Amino acid sequence: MTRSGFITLLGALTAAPAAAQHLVITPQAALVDYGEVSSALRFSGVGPAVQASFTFGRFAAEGSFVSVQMDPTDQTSAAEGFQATEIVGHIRYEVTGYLGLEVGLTSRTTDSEFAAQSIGAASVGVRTHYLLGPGARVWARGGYLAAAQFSGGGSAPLSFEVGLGVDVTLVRHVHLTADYGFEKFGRKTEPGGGAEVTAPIEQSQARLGVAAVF
Amino acid sequence: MRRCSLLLVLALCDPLAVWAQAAHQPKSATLRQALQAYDNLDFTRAVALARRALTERLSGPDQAQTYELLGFAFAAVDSQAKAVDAFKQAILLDPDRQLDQSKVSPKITSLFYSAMGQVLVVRQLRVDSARFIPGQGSVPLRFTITSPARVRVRAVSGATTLLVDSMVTTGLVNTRWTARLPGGDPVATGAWLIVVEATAGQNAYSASQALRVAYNLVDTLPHLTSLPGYQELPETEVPPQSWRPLGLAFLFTTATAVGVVALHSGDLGSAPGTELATVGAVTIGTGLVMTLRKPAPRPATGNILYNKLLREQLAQRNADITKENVKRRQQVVLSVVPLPPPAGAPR
Repeated sequence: MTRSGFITLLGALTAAPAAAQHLVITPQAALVDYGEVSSALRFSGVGPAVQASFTFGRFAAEGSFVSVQMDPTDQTSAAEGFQATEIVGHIRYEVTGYLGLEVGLTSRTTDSEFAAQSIGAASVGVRTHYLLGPGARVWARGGYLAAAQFSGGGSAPLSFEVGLGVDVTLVRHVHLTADYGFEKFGRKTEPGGGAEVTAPIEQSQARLGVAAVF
Repeated sequence: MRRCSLLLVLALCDPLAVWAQAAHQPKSATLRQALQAYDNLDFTRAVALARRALTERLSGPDQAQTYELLGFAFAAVDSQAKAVDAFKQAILLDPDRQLDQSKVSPKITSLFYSAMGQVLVVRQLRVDSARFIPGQGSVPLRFTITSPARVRVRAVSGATTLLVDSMVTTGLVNTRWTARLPGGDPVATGAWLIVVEATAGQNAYSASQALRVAYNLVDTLPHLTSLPGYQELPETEVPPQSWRPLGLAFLFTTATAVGVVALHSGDLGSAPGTELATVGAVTIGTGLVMTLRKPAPRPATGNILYNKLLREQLAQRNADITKENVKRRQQVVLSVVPLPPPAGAPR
Protein backbone atom coordinates (compact mmCIF):
# COMPACT_ATOMS: atom_id res chain seq x y z
CA MET A 1 0.00 0.00 0.00
CA THR A 2 1.34 3.37 -0.92
CA ARG A 3 1.79 6.04 1.71
CA SER A 4 -1.02 8.17 0.20
CA GLY A 5 -3.35 5.17 0.18
CA PHE A 6 -2.56 4.46 3.78
CA ILE A 7 -3.20 8.06 4.76
CA THR A 8 -6.50 8.01 2.88
CA LEU A 9 -7.59 4.84 4.67
CA LEU A 10 -6.51 6.26 8.01
CA GLY A 11 -8.45 9.43 7.31
CA ALA A 12 -11.55 7.47 6.38
CA LEU A 13 -11.28 5.45 9.57
CA THR A 14 -10.89 8.45 11.82
CA ALA A 15 -13.58 10.41 10.00
CA ALA A 16 -16.22 7.79 10.73
CA PRO A 17 -18.58 8.65 13.56
CA ALA A 18 -17.52 7.14 16.84
CA ALA A 19 -21.01 5.79 17.41
CA ALA A 20 -20.61 3.48 14.40
CA GLN A 21 -17.56 1.75 15.87
CA HIS A 22 -17.76 -1.06 18.38
CA LEU A 23 -15.15 -3.35 19.77
CA VAL A 24 -16.46 -6.47 21.47
CA ILE A 25 -14.37 -8.99 23.37
CA THR A 26 -16.13 -12.09 24.59
CA PRO A 27 -14.60 -14.76 26.83
CA GLN A 28 -16.60 -17.91 26.31
CA ALA A 29 -17.03 -21.48 27.36
CA ALA A 30 -17.25 -23.85 24.41
CA LEU A 31 -19.06 -27.17 24.23
CA VAL A 32 -18.00 -29.19 21.19
CA ASP A 33 -19.13 -32.39 19.54
CA TYR A 34 -16.98 -33.83 16.75
CA GLY A 35 -17.57 -36.81 14.49
CA GLU A 36 -15.60 -38.24 11.63
CA VAL A 37 -16.11 -41.06 9.06
CA SER A 38 -18.58 -43.10 11.14
CA SER A 39 -20.40 -43.20 14.41
CA ALA A 40 -17.40 -45.03 15.87
CA LEU A 41 -15.37 -41.83 15.89
CA ARG A 42 -17.27 -39.35 18.05
CA PHE A 43 -15.64 -36.93 20.45
CA SER A 44 -16.89 -34.26 22.73
CA GLY A 45 -15.28 -31.73 24.98
CA VAL A 46 -15.52 -28.53 26.88
CA GLY A 47 -12.98 -25.72 26.79
CA PRO A 48 -12.30 -22.06 26.83
CA ALA A 49 -12.85 -19.76 23.89
CA VAL A 50 -12.57 -16.11 23.14
CA GLN A 51 -14.20 -14.10 20.44
CA ALA A 52 -13.47 -10.57 19.32
CA SER A 53 -15.27 -8.38 16.82
CA PHE A 54 -14.87 -4.89 15.53
CA THR A 55 -17.68 -3.06 13.81
CA PHE A 56 -17.01 -0.08 11.63
CA GLY A 57 -20.06 1.31 9.93
CA ARG A 58 -21.41 -1.43 7.67
CA PHE A 59 -18.28 -3.52 7.99
CA ALA A 60 -17.51 -5.97 10.76
CA ALA A 61 -14.56 -8.22 11.41
CA GLU A 62 -14.87 -11.20 13.73
CA GLY A 63 -12.39 -13.67 15.03
CA SER A 64 -12.60 -16.51 17.50
CA PHE A 65 -10.21 -18.88 19.18
CA VAL A 66 -11.26 -22.15 20.75
CA SER A 67 -9.10 -24.71 22.47
CA VAL A 68 -10.87 -27.87 23.58
CA GLN A 69 -9.69 -31.20 24.87
CA MET A 70 -11.79 -33.68 22.90
CA ASP A 71 -12.47 -37.05 24.47
CA PRO A 72 -14.11 -40.08 22.88
CA THR A 73 -17.74 -40.50 23.68
CA ASP A 74 -19.01 -43.61 25.39
CA GLN A 75 -20.52 -45.00 22.19
CA THR A 76 -17.30 -44.93 20.16
CA SER A 77 -14.32 -47.19 19.74
CA ALA A 78 -11.72 -44.41 19.67
CA ALA A 79 -8.93 -45.08 22.10
CA GLU A 80 -7.57 -41.60 22.72
CA GLY A 81 -8.65 -38.03 22.65
CA PHE A 82 -6.92 -35.01 21.25
CA GLN A 83 -6.48 -31.29 21.79
CA ALA A 84 -8.31 -29.29 19.13
CA THR A 85 -7.46 -25.69 18.43
CA GLU A 86 -9.75 -23.69 16.18
CA ILE A 87 -9.22 -20.23 14.76
CA VAL A 88 -11.98 -18.64 12.70
CA GLY A 89 -12.08 -15.26 11.05
CA HIS A 90 -14.92 -13.50 9.21
CA ILE A 91 -15.37 -10.19 7.48
CA ARG A 92 -18.95 -9.07 7.05
CA TYR A 93 -20.64 -6.33 5.08
CA GLU A 94 -24.15 -5.34 6.10
CA VAL A 95 -26.14 -5.05 2.89
CA THR A 96 -29.36 -4.07 4.64
CA GLY A 97 -30.36 -3.51 8.20
CA TYR A 98 -30.84 -7.22 8.76
CA LEU A 99 -28.75 -9.04 6.15
CA GLY A 100 -24.99 -9.21 5.74
CA LEU A 101 -22.57 -11.02 3.43
CA GLU A 102 -19.64 -12.83 4.97
CA VAL A 103 -16.34 -14.27 3.85
CA GLY A 104 -13.93 -16.00 6.16
CA LEU A 105 -11.31 -18.59 6.95
CA THR A 106 -11.49 -21.56 9.25
CA SER A 107 -8.54 -23.45 10.65
CA ARG A 108 -8.78 -26.36 13.05
CA THR A 109 -5.70 -28.25 14.14
CA THR A 110 -5.25 -31.23 16.39
CA ASP A 111 -2.25 -32.32 18.41
CA SER A 112 -2.72 -35.91 17.31
CA GLU A 113 -2.57 -36.44 13.59
CA PHE A 114 -3.97 -39.95 13.89
CA ALA A 115 -6.90 -39.10 16.14
CA ALA A 116 -8.63 -36.47 13.97
CA GLN A 117 -8.17 -34.41 10.87
CA SER A 118 -6.73 -30.97 10.85
CA ILE A 119 -8.87 -28.79 8.57
CA GLY A 120 -8.55 -25.52 6.76
CA ALA A 121 -11.26 -23.92 4.62
CA ALA A 122 -12.59 -20.67 3.27
CA SER A 123 -16.19 -19.71 3.80
CA VAL A 124 -18.72 -17.58 1.94
CA GLY A 125 -22.15 -17.01 3.37
CA VAL A 126 -24.88 -14.74 4.64
CA ARG A 127 -25.90 -13.71 8.11
CA THR A 128 -29.25 -12.29 9.10
CA HIS A 129 -30.22 -10.74 12.38
CA TYR A 130 -33.33 -9.28 13.99
CA LEU A 131 -34.09 -7.36 17.12
CA LEU A 132 -36.10 -9.39 19.58
CA GLY A 133 -36.57 -6.37 21.80
CA PRO A 134 -34.61 -3.62 23.47
CA GLY A 135 -31.00 -4.85 23.68
CA ALA A 136 -31.73 -8.37 22.43
CA ARG A 137 -30.76 -9.59 18.99
CA VAL A 138 -30.98 -13.00 17.36
CA TRP A 139 -28.95 -14.01 14.34
CA ALA A 140 -28.50 -16.96 12.04
CA ARG A 141 -25.91 -17.69 9.44
CA GLY A 142 -25.41 -20.13 6.58
CA GLY A 143 -22.43 -20.58 4.35
CA TYR A 144 -20.50 -22.66 1.95
CA LEU A 145 -17.11 -24.00 3.00
CA ALA A 146 -14.86 -23.86 0.01
CA ALA A 147 -11.40 -25.18 -0.76
CA ALA A 148 -11.30 -27.39 2.28
CA GLN A 149 -7.91 -28.91 3.05
CA PHE A 150 -7.40 -31.91 5.32
CA SER A 151 -4.27 -33.21 6.99
CA GLY A 152 -5.19 -36.70 5.83
CA GLY A 153 -5.84 -35.59 2.28
CA GLY A 154 -9.05 -35.73 0.31
CA SER A 155 -11.50 -33.11 -0.80
CA ALA A 156 -14.86 -31.86 0.32
CA PRO A 157 -16.69 -30.09 -2.50
CA LEU A 158 -20.00 -30.13 -0.60
CA SER A 159 -19.27 -28.53 2.74
CA PHE A 160 -21.57 -26.17 4.59
CA GLU A 161 -22.00 -24.44 7.87
CA VAL A 162 -25.01 -23.07 9.74
CA GLY A 163 -25.10 -21.02 12.88
CA LEU A 164 -27.43 -19.50 15.42
CA GLY A 165 -26.80 -16.93 18.08
CA VAL A 166 -28.38 -14.50 20.49
CA ASP A 167 -26.97 -11.40 22.08
CA VAL A 168 -28.64 -9.81 25.12
CA THR A 169 -27.54 -6.54 26.69
CA LEU A 170 -27.27 -6.98 30.44
CA VAL A 171 -25.94 -3.52 31.15
CA ARG A 172 -24.58 -0.89 28.82
CA HIS A 173 -21.16 -2.43 28.19
CA VAL A 174 -21.87 -6.02 29.12
CA HIS A 175 -23.73 -8.46 26.89
CA LEU A 176 -24.64 -12.10 27.32
CA THR A 177 -23.95 -14.15 24.19
CA ALA A 178 -24.81 -17.66 23.06
CA ASP A 179 -23.50 -18.92 19.70
CA TYR A 180 -24.04 -22.19 17.92
CA GLY A 181 -22.15 -23.39 14.88
CA PHE A 182 -22.46 -26.57 12.85
CA GLU A 183 -19.96 -27.53 10.15
CA LYS A 184 -20.36 -30.37 7.73
CA PHE A 185 -17.49 -31.39 5.46
CA GLY A 186 -18.54 -33.93 2.81
CA ARG A 187 -15.02 -35.27 2.62
CA LYS A 188 -14.10 -37.85 0.03
CA THR A 189 -10.77 -39.60 -0.07
CA GLU A 190 -9.04 -42.38 -1.90
CA PRO A 191 -7.12 -44.36 0.72
CA GLY A 192 -4.05 -46.09 -0.74
CA GLY A 193 -4.95 -44.89 -4.25
CA GLY A 194 -7.96 -47.15 -4.27
CA ALA A 195 -11.63 -46.40 -4.74
CA GLU A 196 -13.05 -43.16 -3.49
CA VAL A 197 -14.74 -43.44 -0.12
CA THR A 198 -16.86 -40.98 1.77
CA ALA A 199 -15.40 -39.79 5.08
CA PRO A 200 -17.73 -37.04 6.36
CA ILE A 201 -16.64 -34.73 9.15
CA GLU A 202 -19.06 -32.82 11.38
CA GLN A 203 -18.58 -30.48 14.22
CA SER A 204 -21.21 -28.99 16.45
CA GLN A 205 -20.14 -26.20 18.74
CA ALA A 206 -21.98 -24.15 21.37
CA ARG A 207 -20.38 -21.19 23.06
CA LEU A 208 -21.72 -19.20 25.98
CA GLY A 209 -20.02 -16.04 27.05
CA VAL A 210 -20.17 -12.59 28.53
CA ALA A 211 -19.10 -9.84 26.17
CA ALA A 212 -17.44 -6.57 26.98
CA VAL A 213 -18.56 -3.92 24.52
CA PHE A 214 -16.54 -0.77 23.92
CA MET B 1 -104.59 82.99 37.05
CA ARG B 2 -101.36 82.54 35.07
CA ARG B 3 -99.42 84.39 37.76
CA CYS B 4 -100.97 82.16 40.45
CA SER B 5 -100.06 79.00 38.63
CA LEU B 6 -96.50 80.23 38.05
CA LEU B 7 -96.09 80.99 41.73
CA LEU B 8 -97.36 77.56 42.53
CA VAL B 9 -94.84 76.01 40.20
CA LEU B 10 -92.04 78.10 41.61
CA ALA B 11 -93.06 77.16 45.11
CA LEU B 12 -92.99 73.51 44.14
CA CYS B 13 -89.54 73.79 42.59
CA ASP B 14 -87.74 74.68 45.84
CA PRO B 15 -85.65 77.71 44.89
CA LEU B 16 -83.05 76.97 47.55
CA ALA B 17 -82.28 73.70 45.88
CA VAL B 18 -81.93 75.53 42.57
CA TRP B 19 -79.25 77.81 43.97
CA ALA B 20 -77.63 74.92 45.81
CA GLN B 21 -77.07 73.06 42.54
CA ALA B 22 -74.86 75.92 41.47
CA ALA B 23 -72.52 74.89 44.28
CA HIS B 24 -71.45 78.48 44.59
CA GLN B 25 -71.79 80.59 47.73
CA PRO B 26 -72.05 84.24 46.66
CA LYS B 27 -69.56 86.65 48.23
CA SER B 28 -71.70 89.68 47.57
CA ALA B 29 -74.00 90.49 50.51
CA THR B 30 -76.41 92.25 48.17
CA LEU B 31 -76.63 89.14 46.04
CA ARG B 32 -77.29 87.01 49.09
CA GLN B 33 -80.13 89.40 50.07
CA ALA B 34 -81.53 89.21 46.57
CA LEU B 35 -81.48 85.40 46.71
CA GLN B 36 -83.22 85.51 50.08
CA ALA B 37 -85.90 87.85 48.68
CA TYR B 38 -86.43 85.42 45.79
CA ASP B 39 -86.75 82.58 48.24
CA ASN B 40 -89.38 84.62 50.07
CA LEU B 41 -91.21 85.03 46.76
CA ASP B 42 -90.59 88.78 46.90
CA PHE B 43 -89.63 88.98 43.23
CA THR B 44 -89.76 92.75 42.92
CA ARG B 45 -87.33 93.15 45.76
CA ALA B 46 -85.21 90.36 44.37
CA VAL B 47 -84.96 92.22 41.02
CA ALA B 48 -84.09 95.48 42.73
CA LEU B 49 -81.41 93.90 44.91
CA ALA B 50 -79.94 92.00 41.97
CA ARG B 51 -79.71 95.18 39.91
CA ARG B 52 -78.03 96.89 42.80
CA ALA B 53 -75.59 94.02 43.11
CA LEU B 54 -74.65 94.42 39.45
CA THR B 55 -73.51 97.96 40.18
CA GLU B 56 -71.03 96.57 42.69
CA ARG B 57 -67.67 94.93 41.90
CA LEU B 58 -68.71 91.30 41.60
CA SER B 59 -66.63 88.28 40.85
CA GLY B 60 -67.36 86.47 37.59
CA PRO B 61 -69.34 83.64 39.22
CA ASP B 62 -71.29 86.13 41.37
CA GLN B 63 -72.03 88.19 38.27
CA ALA B 64 -73.29 85.15 36.37
CA GLN B 65 -75.41 84.07 39.32
CA THR B 66 -76.87 87.59 39.65
CA TYR B 67 -77.99 87.56 36.00
CA GLU B 68 -79.42 84.10 36.43
CA LEU B 69 -81.37 85.27 39.51
CA LEU B 70 -82.66 88.19 37.46
CA GLY B 71 -83.76 85.76 34.80
CA PHE B 72 -85.62 83.65 37.38
CA ALA B 73 -87.21 86.76 38.93
CA PHE B 74 -88.26 88.29 35.60
CA ALA B 75 -89.70 84.95 34.56
CA ALA B 76 -91.66 84.87 37.81
CA VAL B 77 -93.18 88.24 37.08
CA ASP B 78 -93.86 87.33 33.46
CA SER B 79 -91.22 89.64 32.00
CA GLN B 80 -90.07 87.04 29.52
CA ALA B 81 -88.00 89.30 27.26
CA LYS B 82 -86.10 90.62 30.25
CA ALA B 83 -85.72 87.10 31.59
CA VAL B 84 -84.20 85.96 28.29
CA ASP B 85 -81.84 88.94 28.24
CA ALA B 86 -80.72 88.17 31.79
CA PHE B 87 -80.17 84.51 30.96
CA LYS B 88 -78.14 85.51 27.86
CA GLN B 89 -75.84 87.57 30.06
CA ALA B 90 -75.53 84.67 32.50
CA ILE B 91 -74.69 82.27 29.67
CA LEU B 92 -72.12 84.62 28.15
CA LEU B 93 -70.45 84.95 31.52
CA ASP B 94 -70.59 81.22 32.28
CA PRO B 95 -71.26 79.23 29.12
CA ASP B 96 -71.21 75.91 30.96
CA ARG B 97 -74.01 76.99 33.26
CA GLN B 98 -76.94 74.54 33.27
CA LEU B 99 -80.30 74.32 34.92
CA ASP B 100 -81.46 71.25 36.73
CA GLN B 101 -84.61 70.45 34.78
CA SER B 102 -85.93 68.30 37.59
CA LYS B 103 -85.94 71.27 39.98
CA VAL B 104 -86.65 74.23 37.72
CA SER B 105 -90.02 74.88 36.16
CA PRO B 106 -90.40 74.08 32.47
CA LYS B 107 -91.23 77.71 31.75
CA ILE B 108 -87.94 78.96 33.18
CA THR B 109 -86.04 76.16 31.50
CA SER B 110 -87.66 77.08 28.22
CA LEU B 111 -86.66 80.71 28.63
CA PHE B 112 -83.13 79.64 29.53
CA TYR B 113 -82.75 77.56 26.38
CA SER B 114 -84.34 80.30 24.34
CA ALA B 115 -81.63 82.62 25.61
CA MET B 116 -78.98 80.03 24.83
CA GLY B 117 -80.14 79.84 21.22
CA GLN B 118 -79.75 83.59 20.88
CA VAL B 119 -76.13 83.76 21.90
CA LEU B 120 -73.07 82.14 20.39
CA VAL B 121 -70.99 80.29 22.94
CA VAL B 122 -68.95 77.13 23.07
CA ARG B 123 -70.22 75.00 25.91
CA GLN B 124 -69.07 71.94 27.71
CA LEU B 125 -65.70 71.62 25.99
CA ARG B 126 -64.43 68.25 27.16
CA VAL B 127 -61.21 66.47 26.38
CA ASP B 128 -60.89 62.84 27.45
CA SER B 129 -57.68 61.36 28.76
CA ALA B 130 -56.05 59.19 26.14
CA ARG B 131 -53.03 56.96 25.76
CA PHE B 132 -52.08 55.77 22.31
CA ILE B 133 -49.30 55.27 19.79
CA PRO B 134 -49.21 58.15 17.31
CA GLY B 135 -51.00 57.09 14.16
CA GLN B 136 -52.94 54.41 15.98
CA GLY B 137 -55.22 56.52 18.12
CA SER B 138 -56.44 60.02 18.91
CA VAL B 139 -57.76 62.27 21.64
CA PRO B 140 -61.58 62.53 21.73
CA LEU B 141 -62.88 66.11 21.90
CA ARG B 142 -66.49 67.18 22.31
CA PHE B 143 -68.27 70.46 22.80
CA THR B 144 -71.56 72.18 22.07
CA ILE B 145 -72.11 75.17 19.81
CA THR B 146 -75.26 77.01 20.85
CA SER B 147 -76.08 78.51 17.44
CA PRO B 148 -74.94 77.90 13.86
CA ALA B 149 -71.37 79.08 13.37
CA ARG B 150 -68.11 78.35 11.60
CA VAL B 151 -66.03 76.44 14.07
CA ARG B 152 -62.26 75.94 14.08
CA VAL B 153 -60.56 73.68 16.55
CA ARG B 154 -56.85 74.24 17.09
CA ALA B 155 -54.15 72.76 19.27
CA VAL B 156 -51.66 75.34 20.48
CA SER B 157 -48.39 74.99 22.29
CA GLY B 158 -46.02 77.93 22.33
CA ALA B 159 -45.48 79.00 18.75
CA THR B 160 -46.92 75.77 17.37
CA THR B 161 -50.49 75.87 16.15
CA LEU B 162 -52.13 72.83 14.62
CA LEU B 163 -55.54 72.84 13.01
CA VAL B 164 -57.54 69.95 14.43
CA ASP B 165 -60.85 70.43 12.65
CA SER B 166 -62.92 73.03 10.85
CA MET B 167 -66.66 72.95 10.18
CA VAL B 168 -69.91 74.87 10.05
CA THR B 169 -72.16 73.36 12.66
CA THR B 170 -74.38 73.73 15.66
CA GLY B 171 -75.20 71.52 18.60
CA LEU B 172 -73.06 68.73 19.98
CA VAL B 173 -69.77 68.21 18.14
CA ASN B 174 -67.50 65.18 18.46
CA THR B 175 -64.07 65.35 16.89
CA ARG B 176 -60.61 63.91 17.43
CA TRP B 177 -57.06 65.19 17.73
CA THR B 178 -54.43 62.84 16.33
CA ALA B 179 -51.66 64.65 18.23
CA ARG B 180 -49.36 64.46 15.20
CA LEU B 181 -47.47 67.12 13.37
CA PRO B 182 -48.12 67.58 9.64
CA GLY B 183 -45.04 65.44 8.93
CA GLY B 184 -46.51 62.57 10.94
CA ASP B 185 -44.28 62.88 13.98
CA PRO B 186 -45.89 63.00 17.40
CA VAL B 187 -46.43 66.41 18.94
CA ALA B 188 -43.94 67.64 21.49
CA THR B 189 -44.43 66.89 25.14
CA GLY B 190 -45.60 69.59 27.52
CA ALA B 191 -48.61 71.83 27.90
CA TRP B 192 -51.03 72.17 25.03
CA LEU B 193 -54.24 74.12 24.67
CA ILE B 194 -57.24 72.97 22.68
CA VAL B 195 -58.92 76.12 21.41
CA VAL B 196 -62.41 76.06 19.90
CA GLU B 197 -63.32 79.22 18.04
CA ALA B 198 -66.85 79.80 16.81
CA THR B 199 -67.68 82.67 14.45
CA ALA B 200 -71.07 83.74 13.13
CA GLY B 201 -71.14 87.15 11.45
CA GLN B 202 -69.94 89.70 13.95
CA ASN B 203 -70.25 87.29 16.84
CA ALA B 204 -67.30 85.22 17.90
CA TYR B 205 -66.63 83.06 20.88
CA SER B 206 -63.83 80.79 21.90
CA ALA B 207 -63.25 78.24 24.62
CA SER B 208 -60.16 76.35 25.53
CA GLN B 209 -59.00 73.35 27.51
CA ALA B 210 -55.47 72.85 28.73
CA LEU B 211 -53.78 69.46 28.25
CA ARG B 212 -50.57 67.88 29.24
CA VAL B 213 -48.88 65.61 26.67
CA ALA B 214 -46.25 63.15 27.83
CA TYR B 215 -44.25 60.39 26.17
CA ASN B 216 -44.16 56.87 27.57
CA LEU B 217 -42.42 53.76 26.41
CA VAL B 218 -44.53 51.34 24.44
CA ASP B 219 -45.15 48.09 26.26
CA THR B 220 -43.35 45.23 24.56
CA LEU B 221 -45.00 41.88 24.03
CA PRO B 222 -43.87 38.87 26.05
CA HIS B 223 -42.56 35.90 24.13
CA LEU B 224 -44.71 32.81 24.03
CA THR B 225 -43.71 29.55 25.61
CA SER B 226 -46.64 27.72 24.09
CA LEU B 227 -49.43 28.36 21.66
CA PRO B 228 -52.68 29.01 23.54
CA GLY B 229 -55.02 26.06 23.10
CA TYR B 230 -52.36 23.76 21.69
CA GLN B 231 -50.23 21.33 23.64
CA GLU B 232 -47.38 19.13 22.52
CA LEU B 233 -48.19 15.44 22.22
CA PRO B 234 -45.99 12.64 23.58
CA GLU B 235 -43.39 11.71 20.97
CA THR B 236 -43.21 8.09 21.98
CA GLU B 237 -45.90 5.49 22.39
CA VAL B 238 -45.85 2.08 23.99
CA PRO B 239 -46.76 -0.53 21.38
CA PRO B 240 -49.15 -3.30 22.31
CA GLN B 241 -47.76 -6.58 23.68
CA SER B 242 -46.53 -8.81 20.85
CA TRP B 243 -45.55 -12.46 20.45
CA ARG B 244 -43.16 -11.48 17.68
CA PRO B 245 -39.93 -11.84 19.74
CA LEU B 246 -40.81 -15.39 20.75
CA GLY B 247 -41.91 -16.19 17.23
CA LEU B 248 -38.67 -14.88 15.77
CA ALA B 249 -36.55 -16.79 18.28
CA PHE B 250 -38.50 -19.95 17.57
CA LEU B 251 -38.22 -19.41 13.82
CA PHE B 252 -34.45 -18.88 13.91
CA THR B 253 -33.92 -21.88 16.18
CA THR B 254 -36.12 -24.10 14.06
CA ALA B 255 -34.47 -23.00 10.83
CA THR B 256 -31.05 -23.77 12.26
CA ALA B 257 -32.22 -27.17 13.52
CA VAL B 258 -33.67 -27.99 10.11
CA GLY B 259 -30.35 -27.02 8.54
CA VAL B 260 -28.43 -29.23 10.95
CA VAL B 261 -30.70 -32.19 10.35
CA ALA B 262 -30.47 -31.69 6.59
CA LEU B 263 -26.69 -31.49 6.63
CA HIS B 264 -26.14 -34.27 9.14
CA SER B 265 -24.61 -37.44 7.72
CA GLY B 266 -26.31 -40.62 8.90
CA ASP B 267 -22.96 -42.43 8.89
CA LEU B 268 -21.97 -40.46 11.97
CA GLY B 269 -24.81 -41.72 14.11
CA SER B 270 -27.39 -39.52 15.75
CA ALA B 271 -27.31 -35.81 15.05
CA PRO B 272 -25.52 -33.78 17.69
CA GLY B 273 -28.21 -32.19 19.85
CA THR B 274 -26.78 -30.93 23.10
CA GLU B 275 -25.07 -27.86 21.66
CA LEU B 276 -28.03 -26.78 19.54
CA ALA B 277 -30.43 -27.47 22.39
CA THR B 278 -28.34 -25.31 24.71
CA VAL B 279 -28.15 -22.31 22.41
CA GLY B 280 -31.69 -22.86 21.12
CA ALA B 281 -33.00 -22.82 24.70
CA VAL B 282 -31.18 -19.58 25.41
CA THR B 283 -32.55 -18.07 22.19
CA ILE B 284 -36.14 -19.11 22.80
CA GLY B 285 -35.83 -18.08 26.45
CA THR B 286 -34.67 -14.65 25.34
CA GLY B 287 -37.59 -14.42 22.93
CA LEU B 288 -40.01 -15.37 25.70
CA VAL B 289 -38.57 -12.77 28.06
CA MET B 290 -38.79 -10.11 25.39
CA THR B 291 -42.37 -11.11 24.68
CA LEU B 292 -43.40 -10.90 28.32
CA ARG B 293 -41.45 -7.74 28.94
CA LYS B 294 -43.23 -4.41 28.71
CA PRO B 295 -42.58 -3.18 25.18
CA ALA B 296 -40.17 -0.31 24.84
CA PRO B 297 -41.67 3.00 23.79
CA ARG B 298 -41.28 3.72 20.12
CA PRO B 299 -41.39 7.02 18.28
CA ALA B 300 -44.88 8.24 17.42
CA THR B 301 -44.32 9.65 13.95
CA GLY B 302 -47.59 11.55 13.74
CA ASN B 303 -47.06 13.22 17.10
CA ILE B 304 -43.46 14.07 16.24
CA LEU B 305 -44.59 15.78 13.05
CA TYR B 306 -47.38 17.57 14.93
CA ASN B 307 -44.94 18.79 17.59
CA LYS B 308 -42.50 19.90 14.92
CA LEU B 309 -45.24 21.91 13.24
CA LEU B 310 -46.26 23.36 16.61
CA ARG B 311 -42.68 24.36 17.41
CA GLU B 312 -42.32 25.96 13.98
CA GLN B 313 -45.51 27.92 14.54
CA LEU B 314 -44.32 28.98 18.00
CA ALA B 315 -40.95 30.02 16.61
CA GLN B 316 -42.72 31.99 13.86
CA ARG B 317 -44.96 33.71 16.40
CA ASN B 318 -42.01 34.57 18.60
CA ALA B 319 -40.10 35.87 15.57
CA ASP B 320 -43.09 38.08 14.76
CA ILE B 321 -43.20 39.24 18.38
CA THR B 322 -39.49 40.03 18.25
CA LYS B 323 -40.02 42.10 15.11
CA GLU B 324 -43.00 43.83 16.68
CA ASN B 325 -41.00 44.57 19.84
CA VAL B 326 -38.17 46.04 17.79
CA LYS B 327 -40.74 48.31 16.15
CA ARG B 328 -42.35 49.13 19.49
CA ARG B 329 -39.04 50.07 21.07
CA GLN B 330 -38.73 52.72 18.38
CA GLN B 331 -42.18 54.11 19.18
CA VAL B 332 -43.65 56.12 22.04
CA VAL B 333 -47.02 56.16 23.66
CA LEU B 334 -48.56 59.57 23.90
CA SER B 335 -50.28 60.17 27.20
CA VAL B 336 -52.75 63.06 27.04
CA VAL B 337 -54.33 64.30 30.26
CA PRO B 338 -56.70 67.30 30.47
CA LEU B 339 -55.71 69.84 33.11
CA PRO B 340 -58.28 71.31 35.51
CA PRO B 341 -59.31 74.93 34.86
CA PRO B 342 -57.55 77.56 36.91
CA ALA B 343 -59.09 78.31 40.32
CA GLY B 344 -61.80 80.99 40.20
CA ALA B 345 -62.68 80.43 36.57
CA PRO B 346 -66.44 80.11 35.91
CA ARG B 347 -67.72 76.59 35.73
